Order: sequence, then C-alpha cells, then structure tokens
Amino acid sequence: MAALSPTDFARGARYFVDVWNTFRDEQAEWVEFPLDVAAVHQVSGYVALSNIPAMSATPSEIAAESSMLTGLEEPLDELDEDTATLVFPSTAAAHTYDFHMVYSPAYRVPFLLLRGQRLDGTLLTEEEMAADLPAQTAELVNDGRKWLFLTRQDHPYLNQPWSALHPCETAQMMKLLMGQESIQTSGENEEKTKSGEIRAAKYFLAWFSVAGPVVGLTLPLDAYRFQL
Amino acid sequence: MQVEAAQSKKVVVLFRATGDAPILKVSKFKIGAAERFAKVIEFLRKQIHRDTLFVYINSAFSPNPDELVADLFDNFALEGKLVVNYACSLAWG
Repeated sequence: MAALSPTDFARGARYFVDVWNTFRDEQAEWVEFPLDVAAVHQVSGYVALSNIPAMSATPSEIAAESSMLTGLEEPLDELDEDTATLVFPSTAAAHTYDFHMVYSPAYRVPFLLLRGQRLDGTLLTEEEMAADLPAQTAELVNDGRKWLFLTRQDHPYLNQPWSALHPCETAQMMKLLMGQESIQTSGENEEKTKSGEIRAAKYFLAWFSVAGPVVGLTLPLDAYRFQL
Repeated sequence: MQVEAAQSKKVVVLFRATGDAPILKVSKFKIGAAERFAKVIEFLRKQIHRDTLFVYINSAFSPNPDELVADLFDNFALEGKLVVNYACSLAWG
C-alpha cells in the first residue's frame, strides 16, 4: 500500500510549504504541534493555508464570469489597490477559506481539511461551501473520483468542526501516482536516507495535485518539475 | 513568435494503461500542442469507452485539465513523448 509514515508526512509537508511559497503569493505555513500533542498523534504538525479568497476558481473562469457581469457591476480598477488582485464577482468575494493539510494516522495518508468564513468571521454552512467549489469539482466527481467528497468532520488536532476531503481512497490513488518505485512503505532506516526524503516530497506534491484542485488550490507545472 | 509556433505544433502522446484499464490497440497519438489537457482526457475516454478515468503523468502527478498540452510536453516529455498513464477505477474498498 502506498502509505506515508508520520515522519515522511512532516518532511513532505515542509517541502510542500517551500514549493507553495515559491509559486504562490498567499503564504502557507508549517504549524508545529506542542511536543505532547505531537507525541500522542505521532506527527509533528500540519500545513496551514489561511484566509484564501473563495475558491470558486481559476482566473480564466473568473474573467469569463466578470465579462458577463459587466452590465451589472462597474469595474473596480479605479480603486488604488494592488493591481494583481483578482476581482471576484458575486458573493464568492465575501468568503474566505482556511485549508489545513493534516496526517491521518488511521489511513496513513495526508488529508485536506477546510473551513469557510464570511467577512464577519461566522462559519459557512456546508451548502454555502459546496456552492463555492470550482465547477471542475463536479466534473471530477463525474469522472469517477467519487471518493472526492466533503464530509463534516472534527479537526483531529484542533477539535473544531471542519470539513474534510475523505481520505479513504487516497492510498489506492497514491499507489497509482507513485508508480512502482514506492509501493512499499519505506522502513524507518530508509526514512533517514536522501531517497526517503525525495519520496516524501514527491508523494506530498503528487497527493496535492489531486486533492488541491478539488477545492480550487493549484500550483503551476513548474512546481512539479523537480520530480524528473 | 513562440506562441504561434506552438499553435500549429503537434506533439506525441503515449498512453499507458495501469490497473484494470483496457489497453489501446494504438497507444501513440499526435495532438495539437495548443490544446488543453482536458482534450486529451476526453479523447482517451472515447477511445476506451469508459466514463471514469484517472489520468496522470510519469507516475508523479495528475495534471489539471486546464493545462496546455504544450506546457506538459515541454516539462514532462521523455524521449520526445509525453507519457500519460490512465486507470479506470481505483480498487474500491
């Protein structure tokens, strides 16, 4: 089974944070647990992406939507703001999301948690979050990736209600993605080696390439390049 | 310009079945470099008559359907071919 050890999760996650911060403006961070929590869960922390504007989508979709809305809304380019800021049409603009990438000790894979908020800080309902999901996600589900569904779940480390991308099929998917080279879980000794580190980094990125887009998080191709 | 060249250019895509996915009689195809990866997925889906597909590159990641074939080719082609792996289902349960 293509599982990931808690140690490799931490390595892969830290690598991911570096890559993400290289390619994206919103900063990801590795949140380290206090030692006692880390000991109980066998994993030393998680990746946090905070206050990301509603995921509803890729810039091209936004552009298309914006142009349809030109009759309704004045363009905002008068505002003296960062010109790189995307203009989100409709209510999506008022929603921000926190994403946490945590380790599932039960499935021995990474999984994605998310929580949406309105501008006033109140939490979004599941229906509101579903409406914010990229159109592409519905397509993915039709593609047979039916395991990519959101479930209400407590954040395993923070004990607050979050939503999760269910991790149950992740190991199967990772087995395919990682190919022959890494079907066996690397042993503790091997984890100390360089190759263990590369595998952890590759694994995390490969996992993200599937899990991220479901909630509108993407990295450019260059981010995946090192793998060759 | 490079962009114009890319629009007429075609690249070779090699499909490789994994798991229970049907193998194609012809596995190598040419596709316009200016197409989106979504087109590759759509093409493959028609070839194997299956709606459910999990498509990934070089045993490493699953590209966004929005990506340009040209970009994928430039970054991930090996020996002049872009190898696209596909599986029809994950082994349920």
